[in-house]
Amino acid sequence: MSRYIATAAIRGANRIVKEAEDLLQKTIQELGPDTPVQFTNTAYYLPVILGFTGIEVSKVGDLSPVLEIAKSLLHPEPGEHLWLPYLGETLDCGVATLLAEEAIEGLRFARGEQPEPIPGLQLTGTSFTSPDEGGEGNGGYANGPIDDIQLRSWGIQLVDGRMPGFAAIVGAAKSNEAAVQIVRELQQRNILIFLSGNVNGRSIIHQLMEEGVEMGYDTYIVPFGTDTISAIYALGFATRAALAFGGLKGGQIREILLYNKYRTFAFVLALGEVDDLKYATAAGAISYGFPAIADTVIPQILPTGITSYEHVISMPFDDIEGKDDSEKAKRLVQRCLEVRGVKVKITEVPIPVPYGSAFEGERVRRADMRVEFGGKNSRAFEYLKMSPMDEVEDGKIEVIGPGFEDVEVGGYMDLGIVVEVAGRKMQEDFEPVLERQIHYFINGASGIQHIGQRDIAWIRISKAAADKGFNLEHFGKILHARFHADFGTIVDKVQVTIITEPELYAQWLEKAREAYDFRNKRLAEMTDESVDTFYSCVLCQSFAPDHVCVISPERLGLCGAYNWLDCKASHQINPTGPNQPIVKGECVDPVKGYFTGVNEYAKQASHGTVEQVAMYSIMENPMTACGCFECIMMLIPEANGFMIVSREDPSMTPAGMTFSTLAGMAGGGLQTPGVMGIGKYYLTSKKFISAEGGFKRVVWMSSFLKESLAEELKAVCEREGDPDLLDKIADERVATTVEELLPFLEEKGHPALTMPPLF
Amino acid sequence: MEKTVLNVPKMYADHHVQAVRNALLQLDGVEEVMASSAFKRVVVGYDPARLSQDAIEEALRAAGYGPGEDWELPTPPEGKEDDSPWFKVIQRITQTNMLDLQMSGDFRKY
Amino acid sequence: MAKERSIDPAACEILEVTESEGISTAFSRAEAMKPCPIGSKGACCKLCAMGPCRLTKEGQTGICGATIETVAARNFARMVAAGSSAHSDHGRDMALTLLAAARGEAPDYEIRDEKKLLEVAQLLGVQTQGRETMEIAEEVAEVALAQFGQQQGEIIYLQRAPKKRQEIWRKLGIAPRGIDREVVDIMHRTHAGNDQWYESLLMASLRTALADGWGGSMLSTDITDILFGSPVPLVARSNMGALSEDEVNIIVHGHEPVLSEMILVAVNDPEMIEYAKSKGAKGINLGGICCTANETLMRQGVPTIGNFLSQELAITTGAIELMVVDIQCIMQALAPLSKQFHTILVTTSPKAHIEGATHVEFDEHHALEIAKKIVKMGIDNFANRGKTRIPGKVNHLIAGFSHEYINYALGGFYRGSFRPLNDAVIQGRLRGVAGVVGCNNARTCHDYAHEYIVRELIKNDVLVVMTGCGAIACSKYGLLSPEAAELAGPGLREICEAVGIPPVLHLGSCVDNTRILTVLSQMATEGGLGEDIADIPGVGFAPEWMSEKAISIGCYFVASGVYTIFGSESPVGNSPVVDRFISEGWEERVGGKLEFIPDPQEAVRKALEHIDKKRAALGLVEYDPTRFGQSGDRLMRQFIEAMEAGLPVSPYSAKIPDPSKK
Repeated sequence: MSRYIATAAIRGANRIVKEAEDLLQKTIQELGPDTPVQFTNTAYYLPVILGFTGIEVSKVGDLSPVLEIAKSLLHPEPGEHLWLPYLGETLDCGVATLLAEEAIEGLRFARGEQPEPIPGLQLTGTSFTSPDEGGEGNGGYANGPIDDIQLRSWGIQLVDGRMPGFAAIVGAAKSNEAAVQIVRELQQRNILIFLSGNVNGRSIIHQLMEEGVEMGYDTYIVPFGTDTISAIYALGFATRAALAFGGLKGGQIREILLYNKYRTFAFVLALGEVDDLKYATAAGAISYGFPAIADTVIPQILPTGITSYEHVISMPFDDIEGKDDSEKAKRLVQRCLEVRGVKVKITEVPIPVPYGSAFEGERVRRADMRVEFGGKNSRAFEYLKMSPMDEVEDGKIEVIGPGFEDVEVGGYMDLGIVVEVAGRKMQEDFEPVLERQIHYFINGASGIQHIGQRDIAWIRISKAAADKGFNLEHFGKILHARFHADFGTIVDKVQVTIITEPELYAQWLEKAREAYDFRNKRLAEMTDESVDTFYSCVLCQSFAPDHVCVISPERLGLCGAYNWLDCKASHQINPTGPNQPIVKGECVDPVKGYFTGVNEYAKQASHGTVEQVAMYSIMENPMTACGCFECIMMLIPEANGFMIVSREDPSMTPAGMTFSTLAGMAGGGLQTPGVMGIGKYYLTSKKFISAEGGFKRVVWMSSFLKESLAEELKAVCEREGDPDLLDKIADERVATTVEELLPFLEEKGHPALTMPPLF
Repeated sequence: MEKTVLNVPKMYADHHVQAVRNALLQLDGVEEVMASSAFKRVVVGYDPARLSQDAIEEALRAAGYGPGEDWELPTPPEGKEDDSPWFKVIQRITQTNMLDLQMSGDFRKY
Repeated sequence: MAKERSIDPAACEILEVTESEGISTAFSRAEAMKPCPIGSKGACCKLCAMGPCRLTKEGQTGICGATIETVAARNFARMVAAGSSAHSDHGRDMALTLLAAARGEAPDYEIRDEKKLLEVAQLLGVQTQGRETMEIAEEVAEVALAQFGQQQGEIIYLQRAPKKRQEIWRKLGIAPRGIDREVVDIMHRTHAGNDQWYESLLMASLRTALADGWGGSMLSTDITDILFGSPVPLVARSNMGALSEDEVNIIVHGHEPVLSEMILVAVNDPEMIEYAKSKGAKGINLGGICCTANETLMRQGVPTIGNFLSQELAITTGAIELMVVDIQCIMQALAPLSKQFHTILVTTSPKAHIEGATHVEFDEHHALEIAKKIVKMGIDNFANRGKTRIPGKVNHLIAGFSHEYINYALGGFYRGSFRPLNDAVIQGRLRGVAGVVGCNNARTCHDYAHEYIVRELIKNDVLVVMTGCGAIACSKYGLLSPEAAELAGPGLREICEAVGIPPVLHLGSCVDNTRILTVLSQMATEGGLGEDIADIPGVGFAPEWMSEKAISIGCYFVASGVYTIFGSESPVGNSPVVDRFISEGWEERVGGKLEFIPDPQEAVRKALEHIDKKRAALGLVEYDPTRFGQSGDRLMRQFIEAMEAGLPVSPYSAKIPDPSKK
């Protein structure tokens, strides 16, 4: 601290705690102490309060003891002369501030004042139960706290480092130009951007709205609100990351704080003048190891210790070198990253629009669209094939046929993307693995939207991107750059052909379809019996230290991101990486799926926590989970079967818990018979809980799964010899309790009811 | 347009900036408000023909942000007393907490 | 004349008076009598009636054949034993007080720091679950007392040292077995015709010193905290100016807080204050001298009037109604001196009687009653006060840095650790750390060496921790105030500004040197600075030492791995072999060494050299102060000043117009 900051922060803390108390008293009087207090869709109550105190706040009255703790952390301001030490005291006041701020937001929820209305704000992807659900469009409100679903779906990226952390931006930038550049720079590095605060009533949220920057989960920009108090959601996010992925419990605050210091690369960026509450909140953030950077003149705190690098940095915006605001903003962000020690590899992609995976979720609406390929009116396919070394010319990008210049605005045309790769380590098996990357690579360009794969690809180019000069050749540039950057160890040469010429298009589509067909058959033939090696995935061990995924051809990783082939490719790319071959060894029990090699590996890699793993059973030594599973399965004893809830489903389940609550039981690398986190495609596997009888045991599943896997599940039902099985499985629309579930199953004659008892 | 500078000690954070601005901008005759929570002062640009400085101050007082008024706070415990609450809870550590070490470096546990 | 004897302006003012009036003080007596040249170098053996033998020529031996080496080492060992016994006996009294308090036999004492009690109980292996506080306290006291009489094994407190350090002690066989046993061991060993090999004598001395530092003294600090509260920072005054012209001045002098804390309670008793008023005083003013001052200063902010050499000068002000003393460092000269003034000198300890003083024996079972009685004597004496000459000099300091608080200061309740301190050393903001402790010595200019060394160290970015009379010395020159950060090098200044601490931290009385050991152990275990205390870039100083306790302290620091520099000529100077052994010989074995360097400049130079050597051994960046000093409030203050002055400033630019050029 510096004494100036300490004084300001302690002053701010004393005031905000008082405000929280006043608001609490007022709310108790007006609404009563039993009024529920909860954030959107979370199993972690008010997460910062839970983390620090272990108190599970669910109603207004629960906040009283919390504020008592906050008060006990307050201190008087240091004197002008002969001051007493203030660092520890300021940090405590920072924590008191966080507790008070979260209490205030909790109370605002109880009072119906959160999320904050911001007229005109449209978000792409928000917390599931936005207050305006069913209202006019999905807009007009700030996002408020991030829900567990989004946290977990970002989980794998947070875990494997693709998403290094977050920037909590507070205030407003000096100019709109600077505001846009700051978020663009962060987006390019896949850093989540949380927005809050204002300067003279104006927030960076307003600035980005004016500049037409898309905000929402999909673009990694989350507007929390226009005051500093809402910045508490950023720390709530950090706390929950530690709870969800670090296997920590509420109250283990020292662990939670250190977890964030070492795992979450986050920082506070204060734009514009810094007031007492901003100092106080920053003091709270410092306890998490998050430094603060300001673009105005403030005292600096350079010694390290609580954070890994400097604590507080001042970078007066006008003094930054650079010819315009946007160049200055660039330098500012670079300094932020240095201060937090974020090392991000950026692949330079030579295209005229910004590029980064933060743009992956961007949508191009019909009104903004210049042209589309695929979809209702046209067709697009993409095909990646391995070719002999001498037949591929690296960097060659050829567009055969007309460009989209002559297509009317909002029009469509057919498109084929053929990628030929060659490399000494390349194998035919990797073709689909690499081909699937095309989706992510192309989506990374700002203003381009890619959906689907193979011959059902659907690509849109926005007017803005086309205006900046984006053309078909740039697809090739993107693919060439990214394949080299990400798969350089197996790919030596990349050549891309973009085809719009109808005749050639038809020829290549035919070839591609043959290849798809061939791969489908090959994949279908690939069974656990047909290989002698499984793969491990310990990607999540940095988060869940004792968790080990074992991935076989018929059981993909629980995050849904890695199947057996992915792991094989990943192992080729990085032989000492997180995916290691496991020689499966002798099959001790083919029904439950015990393999000697797997058991040995699990025991060693889980540091002795897990002795045995049954690959195909949920009731006996099930596989552990970290926290980023796509679905959770759980035993419903009354129904003699299992339910499966997907993370997209916020509703109550017959198990009496929502996904978020269940996630706490399924995660953390512990074996809990009867509960298991899984990837959704595991449902279609022949080995899906084959020890317990397979898919017929499923008595309830989220409607989201039924719909998104409709085709696949239909095939599964047929395979299981009960084509109508899917209709016999309940979902949240018909049953959210066991009492509702059982009659439904009886009525439909669900097979699980007559199967052998599970125990 | 005339400008007046008012000290508003209660405006220590940006949610108060919003409240102060709302209170002032509703007044007929206020043309510009620059509210700074960092320095706890408001610069109001107004048309003296339509509005008096007193009216501005009155509006602030009505909104709970009277110029010169500060928060009435309980004095935090003079921290160095044996019985102040924080002193009771601080650790009497005579052994290094090894978590920091365990969590950093190659032998990290998490 | 006076200026050569002390750098303290208050002391000088009074010395002028004593000189002109012919009042005898330690200062004048030191001038009148030179130190004995034989004894001061450890050349005199008076262990048996065949001697005393003085060994002044090379190769000479005593009647029994004892060599120069043996004689020097034996004399040295006995100093260690005496020092160790003094500290440890102090610790024993604290433990006995705790025991009496726990049993309800000393109703005036309570457990002020229950949390610390539980912590200490855990270390001592005392069951705490489901037990009453007093029950735990009783057992803690019993276990602590048992440490004194323990005959075998190891004393418990060694566990607080880094693992590697404990191993070194065990390997060398110098892990103390019991506190009293080690003192007896030296007394026996040095008896005529016993241990007659200097190496063995000196290694045994280290064990005896360890029994003090990691035994008697350390448990004393802990128990004192339990009884009177762990210190946390507070503002206090120091020097003679804290004496009051119109109040009854009562001075506590000595070492054990058992007495001074009760006197403090007594002087705050409204009944006593009323009584004082009835005698024409405005109230009662309590001040301290020596380490008992440090004890009450650390915990209650009672002003310190001065250090060891100020004890006579304080009485000479004529403003002191009563000086109550307990044990250690009390000059016999006080008794005749007090007769020349109206001051009543009260001795209280059965272990420390002084001829001519009033003896009121202190008994912790009736503590407050006795304390009130003493205070009342002082009040009654107010009427006898004559002309006073209180030097106006007073300075402020921040005291109260316990290691527990330092841990808290560096991260608050939730993140407290020594990591920021270690980081600062690793990055070179702090070149290293130093402990500057010890007494005053009338043979050197009062306070000069303390002040000089500390000022130089902080200028060179060395964080200084102090205890005892050294701390009082530096407090008189403002070095213990947070504003002194301006005197520090750029890196240390940044740390001071970040944490809000002075560049020099007051850790307590001389038994509280164990707090330094604890801090060092925690730094070693925190990581990044090696695995042992000996790896840390740090040094210890006792520039103006005079007592045997100081020698014991020096030895336990050496045995813990610290390079320790003492002022004055070596007490084993007669034997270059022994002199070399306590330096190089000890360094080879335990990593720390003891050197006697009379010249403060030379001492600082060698200390910095040693710190840089340790930095290099750890592979840390070379110390370079030019890299630091960018943080802090300066720029912000300029900005606000310019803004208040109505200059055109923008928060987005640090290019601030100079207000003077408006």
